[in-house]
Amino acid sequence: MQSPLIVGAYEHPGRELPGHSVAQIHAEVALGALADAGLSLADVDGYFCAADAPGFGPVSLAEYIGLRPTYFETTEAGGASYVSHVGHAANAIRLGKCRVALITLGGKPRTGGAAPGSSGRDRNAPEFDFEDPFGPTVPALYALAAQRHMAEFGTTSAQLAAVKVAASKHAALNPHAFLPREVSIEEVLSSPMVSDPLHRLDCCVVTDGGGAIVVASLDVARSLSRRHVRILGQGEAVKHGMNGRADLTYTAAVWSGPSAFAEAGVTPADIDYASLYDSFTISVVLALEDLGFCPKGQGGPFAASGALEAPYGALPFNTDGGGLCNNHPANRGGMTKIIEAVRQLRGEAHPDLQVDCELALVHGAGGTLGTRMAASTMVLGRST
Amino acid sequence: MIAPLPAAGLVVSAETRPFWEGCAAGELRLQWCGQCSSIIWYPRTHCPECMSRDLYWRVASGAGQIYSWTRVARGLGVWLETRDYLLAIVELAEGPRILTNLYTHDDQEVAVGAAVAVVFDTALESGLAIPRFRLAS
Repeated sequence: MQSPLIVGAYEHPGRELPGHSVAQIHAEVALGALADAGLSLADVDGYFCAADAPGFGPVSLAEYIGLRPTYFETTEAGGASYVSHVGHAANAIRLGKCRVALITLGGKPRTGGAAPGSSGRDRNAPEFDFEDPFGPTVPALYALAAQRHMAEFGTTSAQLAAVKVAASKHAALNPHAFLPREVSIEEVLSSPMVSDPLHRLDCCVVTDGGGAIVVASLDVARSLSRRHVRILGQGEAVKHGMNGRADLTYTAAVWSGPSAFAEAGVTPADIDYASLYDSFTISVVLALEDLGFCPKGQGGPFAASGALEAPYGALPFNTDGGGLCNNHPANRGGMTKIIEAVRQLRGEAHPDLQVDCELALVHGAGGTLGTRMAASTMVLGRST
Repeated sequence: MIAPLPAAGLVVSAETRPFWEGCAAGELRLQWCGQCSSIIWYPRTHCPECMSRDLYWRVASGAGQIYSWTRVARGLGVWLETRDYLLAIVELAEGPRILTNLYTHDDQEVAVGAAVAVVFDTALESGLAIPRFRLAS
């Protein structure tokens, strides 16, 4: 069976876009990714977007961008959405439902939206009355997972801070990064407490911007000159309150990860580079454990060992600086995770951070670690 | 004296009303499944474990322990002016882990595993109440 490929990727260079409309950001990244691929609007027959897309499902943006899709999907799983979109697009292409699928993300929480953590509280959600009256914020709902992890495994704030430090070293080499400066463990620990044990520098940045990916069939990819990226496997899962029995020391990655690895026929030890969802430092620590890069409870020491630092760490991660330092457009980090993995597999990461990368893992998450979440994990491969 | 935390209005539906009315009456009521004996959290009209609609209410002990907690520096919405409040997940003695707030005195140390007991705060508009917890002395 023909394996679909990622043939185009584009990250919006903007991090503060006060004059842009959200639709305009989607269109700019769509055109950017298509230009990267060497394709045109007329080539697109599949369109994928999530709840950051303004207007009516995929329809308003299809009109605004100039698409006439005969296949579309609007899977909404927060920041994990776009990783799922790539997997679902590959499935659709395998089935012959479309040949060129465009996936877009765009938003402007920095200059045009509500405060981070205040959006998306649906009063019709069945859990609303059992959570909203208690004043949950997004950082607080991650802090609950961090506090429990500390109590069970002895994880420390300095170990969490090591995740930020590694990301900041990478961001220092990215001219587009929102926080383009290396920070120290001490700076993380002395930054204001947002929701303990999470400090301000344990949190991702809040940025405007977006990104887009083009997935195409092998026939289409062969006609293009750009180096493409193989989609080897993708898995996704939901973890929720589990009828009041949820254990906050693990995430939905314990299911999405093995599913992606099995489809790809590889193991965590085979991965050369990982784009890990980094809404908060604790998100990375739990993903490292749940995806099998280290034993449960050892994510803190693993991060503190320098393992995440490119190019020589045991598992170089987020070489663009990630959501923690570079970009977290629309409060949704999945798209930028895919884009940096594509750069690594094309050999287009920053030269000082370029890994000899045959296999990359992309892990996205949506929702919160403290209540309910979706995870989507993907294994990508370098084309030969 | 501990200052009460904000208590916003509730969107109470018929399926959850017995829970909130219980809080207003000073009772922490939980829902049990008549078929598989699971305790159901949060309340609804079917058992998510076995599909049964044969459910009944029983008053819980109101005792529990801290599963996890965090001190939130600053809230949002009706909590915007509230500083350094405690959000927690309490594991009830009967089993379910529920999101709530903690009340403490200055000399009390909050910790995972600490014993807590339920208190009830009147919610705005509805006249119903919500369950919060204090450290058991």
